[in-house]
Amino acid sequence: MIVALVASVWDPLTRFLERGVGLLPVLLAVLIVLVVGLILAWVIDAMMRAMLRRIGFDRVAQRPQVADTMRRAGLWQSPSALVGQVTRWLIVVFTLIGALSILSAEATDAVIGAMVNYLPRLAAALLIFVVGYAVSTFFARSVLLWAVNARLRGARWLAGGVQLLVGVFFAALALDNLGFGREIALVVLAILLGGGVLAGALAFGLAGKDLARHTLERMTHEARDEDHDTLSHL
Amino acid sequence: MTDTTILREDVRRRLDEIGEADVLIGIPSYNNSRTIGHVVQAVTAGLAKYFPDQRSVLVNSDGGSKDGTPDVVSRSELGTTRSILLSHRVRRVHKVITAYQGLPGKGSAFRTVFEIAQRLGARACAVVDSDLRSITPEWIELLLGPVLHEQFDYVCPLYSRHKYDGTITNSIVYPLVRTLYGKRIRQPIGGDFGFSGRLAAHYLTHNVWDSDVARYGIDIWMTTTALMGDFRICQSYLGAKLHDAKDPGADLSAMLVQVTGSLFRQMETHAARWREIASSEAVPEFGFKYEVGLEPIPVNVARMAHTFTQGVQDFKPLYSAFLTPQTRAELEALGAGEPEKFHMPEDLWVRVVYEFAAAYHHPRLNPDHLLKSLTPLYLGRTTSWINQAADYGALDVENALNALSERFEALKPYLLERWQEGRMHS
Repeated sequence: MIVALVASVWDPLTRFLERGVGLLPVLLAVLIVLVVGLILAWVIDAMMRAMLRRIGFDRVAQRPQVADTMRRAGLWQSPSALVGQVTRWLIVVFTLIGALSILSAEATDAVIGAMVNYLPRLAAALLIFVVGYAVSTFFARSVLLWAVNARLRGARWLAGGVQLLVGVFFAALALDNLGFGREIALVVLAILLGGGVLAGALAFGLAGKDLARHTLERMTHEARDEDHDTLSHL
Repeated sequence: MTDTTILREDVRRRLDEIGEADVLIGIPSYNNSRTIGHVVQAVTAGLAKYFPDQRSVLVNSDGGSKDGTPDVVSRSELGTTRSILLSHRVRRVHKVITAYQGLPGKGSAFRTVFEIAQRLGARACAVVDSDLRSITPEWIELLLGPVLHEQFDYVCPLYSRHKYDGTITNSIVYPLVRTLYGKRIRQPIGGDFGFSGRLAAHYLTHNVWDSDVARYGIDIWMTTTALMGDFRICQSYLGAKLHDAKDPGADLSAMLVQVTGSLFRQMETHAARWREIASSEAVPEFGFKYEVGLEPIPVNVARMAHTFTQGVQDFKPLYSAFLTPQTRAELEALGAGEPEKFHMPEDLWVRVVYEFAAAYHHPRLNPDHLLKSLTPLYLGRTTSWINQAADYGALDVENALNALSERFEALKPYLLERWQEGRMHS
């Protein structure tokens, strides 16, 4: 009885150990690839930064347009550090794929295939994001300039609202292009637009009716002032 | 004579009939039927009174008016003004009334005038605005006389204006033109000019008729081109300048964009020349100066000061892209306090103008956005001027503007530094 029990446990354990011993070289190879890949990623990152710094690549960031764009995008690193980081992460990704290929060729093929298929969409979405950022900034600035020069109060809020709306519109386009979150983006856009208009109407018409009256009075009063202001600037 | 004419066939036939001319007056117009009759009468009377022996042509270069402006020009004659003449004129004034070709704008209208002047071989020409209410026959003598009798090539106007009027000219255009090009031309964009046939031909050699010069930048372009071509320049005192009631839709911001944009573009074109000019000199003046009674102008100082404060706050991210930290800090410090005591130091204003010019040269923003962001700062300067000049007489005004221009000249090295550098200090 006991012999039979030991045998029933021992056999699977033996098979497991045999498989484990068989897998050890594979796991060791995966580990070596990972360690070497990661070390290589950090070394190449450091080399890339040093080389780019030496050839004066960071001077690009001193150009006002580049500096302004980078700051607005939340990028505070130097361009050489940025290129180094991108290179490092690319090497890390390739290392992971390499390690995966040791474990399972089919899985690797599937991952690479999916990535290759997805790349054009990803590139298009990135482009839409970049264009959307530029367009929303342009519209926001135009609205801000118009509103301040027209002496409108809350000009910054107005410009911020325009930037948000245009930004959400482009984000919806980009997400649609990526093939997910389409409905979510559309719903967010509709809520922002509809909710904003409704909230504004309610706030102005109910809660702020005194403010509305005061604002309209001030607007008409200023318009009358404007009529009397006959300064000829030229 | 140019081969590529912009003149219509009927106009060319009319010019062939006229043959030659000694003097030519151009009047650009667009829907000015209310005022152009008076302008034509003053011009005709001026030609009859001061140039009776000259072969004279009046050109109306119209932008497609819908209110019958060309008909008014065609009907307007000397009429009742005949009584002011000491002698009846010997030669009649020929009229050429045409719709100009090209981009809509005063520049295209002037191009037509230049080409007609060249075809007719006119020795002296003048252009006057069609919405003038204060033009007199003497203007014609004062604009054409220095060209015909003193061999000047370009005659700029001098006007008597209210101390609060013409603030773009007084605060930006006059001091900047004087500092850049070294000639003290008080009204570089006056709108009413005299010029020689030689200068008209020179204008036609430039290929600018598809640019903003053709639309709105013609005045500063004519003055700058005459200056840079080393033509002989003088000024004539014309008296008061009163226009027809201004367009209520006219937007200060758009006006400022047009004027400063044209000025800065000319700076680009002539950078090699103006960088070498270190001082300015007076230009000869004609005409008899006299005091003019001008109606008071109501202004809302508090509103202008508020726009300045709001602009400095709301445009912070824009200004940080091209104004120096020192200039930004000084502008921000000005905001608080009573509008009636608002004062913007002259050196600060000069630095603002120079930093905008340098930013236009080294594009850091969309040019339209850049120039529009000047509006609140300009209103700050105007508020400061109105407070400063509250008790000024005409002489005090000129002295104060002269002092401002001297600060522009003294700080020219700062402009050169910014122009060369082109980098943001932050």
